[in-house]
Amino acid sequence: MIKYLIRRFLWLVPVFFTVALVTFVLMHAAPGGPWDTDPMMRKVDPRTEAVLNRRYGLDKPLWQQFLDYVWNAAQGKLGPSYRLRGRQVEDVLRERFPTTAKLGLLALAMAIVVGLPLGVIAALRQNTWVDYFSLFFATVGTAVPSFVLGIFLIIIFASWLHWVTVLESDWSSFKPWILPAVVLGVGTAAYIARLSRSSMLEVIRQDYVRTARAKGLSERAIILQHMLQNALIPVVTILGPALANLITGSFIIETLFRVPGMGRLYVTAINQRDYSMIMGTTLFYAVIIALTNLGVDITYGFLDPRIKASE
Amino acid sequence: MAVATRRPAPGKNVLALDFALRKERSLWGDAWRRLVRNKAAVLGMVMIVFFAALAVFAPLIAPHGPLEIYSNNAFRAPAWVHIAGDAAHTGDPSFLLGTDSLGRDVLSRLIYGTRTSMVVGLVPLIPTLLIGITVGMAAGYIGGRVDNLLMRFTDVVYAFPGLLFFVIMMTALRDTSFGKLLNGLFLLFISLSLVAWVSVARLVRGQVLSLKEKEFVEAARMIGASDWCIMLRHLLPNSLGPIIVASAFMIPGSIMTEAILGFLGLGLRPPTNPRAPFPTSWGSICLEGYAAINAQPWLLLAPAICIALIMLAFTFVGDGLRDALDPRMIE
Amino acid sequence: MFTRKNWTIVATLIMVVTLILPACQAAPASEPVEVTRVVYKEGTPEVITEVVTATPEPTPEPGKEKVLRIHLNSSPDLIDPQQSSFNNEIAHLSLIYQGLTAFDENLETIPAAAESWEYNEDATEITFHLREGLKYSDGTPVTADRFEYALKRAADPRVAGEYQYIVFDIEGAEEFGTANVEELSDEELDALRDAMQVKALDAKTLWMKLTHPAPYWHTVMGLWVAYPARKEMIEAGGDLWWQNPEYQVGNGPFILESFEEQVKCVLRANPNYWAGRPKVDKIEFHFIPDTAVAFEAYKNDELDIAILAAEDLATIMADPVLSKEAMVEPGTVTMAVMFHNLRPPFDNKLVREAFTYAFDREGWCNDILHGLGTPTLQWIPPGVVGYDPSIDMYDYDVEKARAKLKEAGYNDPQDLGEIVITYPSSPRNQTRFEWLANMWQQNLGVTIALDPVEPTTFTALTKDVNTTPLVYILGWIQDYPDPQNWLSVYWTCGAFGERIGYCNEEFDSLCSLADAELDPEKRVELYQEAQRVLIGDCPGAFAYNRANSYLVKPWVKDIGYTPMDAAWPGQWASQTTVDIDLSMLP
Repeated sequence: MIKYLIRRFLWLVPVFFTVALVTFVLMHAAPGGPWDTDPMMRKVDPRTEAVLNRRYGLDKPLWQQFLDYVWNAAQGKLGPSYRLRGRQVEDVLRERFPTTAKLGLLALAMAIVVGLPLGVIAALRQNTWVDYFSLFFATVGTAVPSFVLGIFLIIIFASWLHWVTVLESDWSSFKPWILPAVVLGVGTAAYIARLSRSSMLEVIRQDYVRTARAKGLSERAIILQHMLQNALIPVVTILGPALANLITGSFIIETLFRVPGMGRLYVTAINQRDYSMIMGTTLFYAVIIALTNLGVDITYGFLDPRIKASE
Repeated sequence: MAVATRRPAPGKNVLALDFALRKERSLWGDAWRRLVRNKAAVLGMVMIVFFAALAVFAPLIAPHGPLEIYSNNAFRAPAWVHIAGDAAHTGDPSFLLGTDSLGRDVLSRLIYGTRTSMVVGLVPLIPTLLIGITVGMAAGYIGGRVDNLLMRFTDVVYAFPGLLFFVIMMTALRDTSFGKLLNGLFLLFISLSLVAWVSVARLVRGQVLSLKEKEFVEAARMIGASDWCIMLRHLLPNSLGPIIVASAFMIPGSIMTEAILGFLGLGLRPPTNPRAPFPTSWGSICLEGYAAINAQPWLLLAPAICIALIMLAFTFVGDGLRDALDPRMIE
Repeated sequence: MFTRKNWTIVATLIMVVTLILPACQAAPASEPVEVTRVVYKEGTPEVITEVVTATPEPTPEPGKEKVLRIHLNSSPDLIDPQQSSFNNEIAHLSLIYQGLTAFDENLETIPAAAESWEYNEDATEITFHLREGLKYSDGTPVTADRFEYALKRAADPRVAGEYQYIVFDIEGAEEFGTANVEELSDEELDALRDAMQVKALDAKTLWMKLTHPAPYWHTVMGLWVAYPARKEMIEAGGDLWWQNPEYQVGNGPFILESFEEQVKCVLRANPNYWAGRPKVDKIEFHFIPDTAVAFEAYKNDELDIAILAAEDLATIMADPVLSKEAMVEPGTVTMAVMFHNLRPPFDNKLVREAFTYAFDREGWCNDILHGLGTPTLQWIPPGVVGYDPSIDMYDYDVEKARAKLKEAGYNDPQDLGEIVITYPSSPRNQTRFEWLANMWQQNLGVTIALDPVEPTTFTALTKDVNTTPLVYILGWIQDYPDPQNWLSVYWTCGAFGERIGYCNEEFDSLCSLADAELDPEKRVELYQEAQRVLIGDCPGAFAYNRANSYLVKPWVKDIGYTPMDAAWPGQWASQTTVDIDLSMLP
């Protein structure tokens, strides 16, 4: 097992290197640099541009810039941000990541709390209206674009019902988190509902359930002790990637609800060619995804000895 | 599965006659019958055909041109809304869903937008499947170092945060000459394929791994069939089931990606030529509608509903296909 | 119970919880800080170290506090007088600090921290005299050496502020500002800094020498670049000094109270401001990039001033209540359709004239901008000195347009080939440029191709005459309200106009005469003459002045709008006078 882990970790190094390389190349393929944003708001004199380029090392040849970056990144130094002047990228990420993580976790929690019971009950009451409703919810949840859902919820809950204010700003309290977590988590809730439903359906048909019933155990005992545990395995294994997905895909929600997280930072950075922020955030996201994938593979390894043997 | 061709003497054995006259039944036929029995899947197929028809026959169906500007007609409400005293914004039956900021008919633009969505859903499938199946086959069948290498390669692609990769690709390459082909659609197809082939490859590899050790493959090898023959005539057809199901679920994913990218301003480029085949997309209309949500909410609602409907359609069909092609399901 | 599955679940939960923990940590409480201050006692500087504590102020009763909540469309990345260049950053700076001069409602330069100034005979030197008794909000006196520090810091290449070029007119500033930081040592750079010709002659007198006669320099010194930043605060406060009320201490009418990135910034009134305490108790800037969301918040009474988006104008004007709260006023921005003067077919002046005559400015402003712009035929906007209401060259005339095209030798407009218009792609622009293409196609019979590019790409393209697009729309937001900034800074040979290949010796000589002219009336005449030459050359079609559009709640009173108010109405001239009528609050 240890050997397997070490090998997987070592493989992460070329993976991250390639991610960094691809991002770097693509970023520099786009014309325009960090001083070229929106001529109507900011004008940088060509003389000053030369000074700025020198200061940030942008006048060095590209290959050298890339190697410098990789060397620094390996030590955890992700460079200075070009837009958030005076700040280091790793500091900004460290500051903003907890917010995005919290949003992702809340969304995941909501998705589990809503999706899991819905799926399980739908399986138990297959082909009744409960089943059809949960299927409907599941498919609609993945079909409506998040930004559409978001703005309509804002209009309904803030402007019409006044349950929340449009400009929630006290992020240490609970209220501002509700709407963004709901909108972010809807898709995952739908996915979990379908997954738990189909896995529960499979379990229901298994022989050991019939055996348990034949033995005379109460329905409740059967469900709780035997079926749920087995049905939940597939759901648990997707929790990691689902969380990674939520965290890395939250930028639209963050922009809409003005959540001070790092997703928003990413899209703005791309538009403004904030090279170091783009690289730093991409690498950070790649780390999250790689670690959760690794976690899933390890979990599979625990659960299914055949896969370990074949490695 | 062929039927015996020897016919019994006429009049002798009714059962034998019946057996001889019965139509050939294949696994595919079974699957189709199961699919058709699934009401949701049928509904989905009908919707897909409907949207496809809209896409193909758009010039005949749409009441106005998609780029036709009517002055003094901006932000007109849908036909069923009546705003007293405001002639410029009250509903007009010739603009069924109202107009946008330039006075263009929303319904016509939606109909033409169907083309982009259908094309974005279907066209990237081709390179995705080609690359994915090839890589998956090679990795699964050859195994060993080739397998290792290819799988590490897929790891790299997997490590890229999906939507973010699209954002970077579109931003970086939109303004190159290659990014301007087909109003930017070509770049979108390439980007979508570059990411989607990975799951197909893994799927195929998994299938091949489990099928490789089966008896019929061993039997084919003993007869002397070449590797190619085995891969194409035995492994591939038996993997088709999961591949089809995966494809059915990739289509709505692509459509949603286009909508989100369009919403971020990174999607289709608008052409000026009124005869351009892809004048607009649902994602772009969403973007316009988003800014104008107070002026004309249907500008956002209408494309959102369309996106939802087409995604539902493909998802139903995908579910149906999966159930139909799953040999374990007892009828 | 301890099966493999349960372990997996437990492991997942542990992984999940360790991610939450950082987010749940309470924010560290702020501690009192030791700050070094330079205090002048009878003319001699003395360095003292003391602990900064907040000055206790009478807290107004809750519910009776006047809070002005303003919408800004993006969160400032940096609020630093010598490094900022964005509107939203400047909005904060002009409340926290005050410069040597300021602007009134007519955009005239008025005394501020400096109560008077004078030039030498040829306007190459200027001396400012500071007011008596000026103080920062923490009580430290404001002295002339503070302004000297600010201007030197603005040019310092180690600071690399993006707006540094504005002070390059001070002698020694450009050499210092563009010095190569890699090659020169700190001492050498300091020597260059000291060679910069700006000096505090005593606690109340500031003198500077300019590279050329510039009788408008007192106007430039009203900009935020000259705001007296606090050296000791910046050095002690670290990277985030500008967000921290302990360190961002200014001499302006408001004090920074709190700053939440991406959310909002709160500023409270400075009770010791020399010109009198502002009427409102607090100003809150809310950072909302989405105009749709901001509009919802405004309708919900969560904002007092919001930016009015073009898409919502029709809805607002149709609403009896909202239409009275809308404020649409011309701004100091002029947009023009630029033609590449060196590339065919626009190297032919007649072709340029044809396209300019065929441009329907009224239609553009009504149908496209929905009234959020006013047509113009000249470069200088109304409200700025030098604007000439009598100009009517190249007004919309389709007949003349077609005639000019024939005169240029194009009997069949299709001979021009495909004309490509480039623009930064955004949904708003998409519709606008489709309209524009349509208009020229109809009026002239030419074929137009649209080329939308990414906004950053667009900026990059328009910076160099070799990559400048054939046709595009670009404008100029003034740096300071003076015709010198509009004409000499932009259109002289080698300046911004060079990017489309414009260069006219006659224009240049008129501008240099005007720049050095001390008599204000003659100055204006010379600039107007220069502008006429510019328009006569028809380098582009001067199209419209972008309007500043806001929604303002009826209980906000006494806003004195200036066309420079790009962030919020009243930002430049009404900081202390804007008021809220509490009796009108819902």
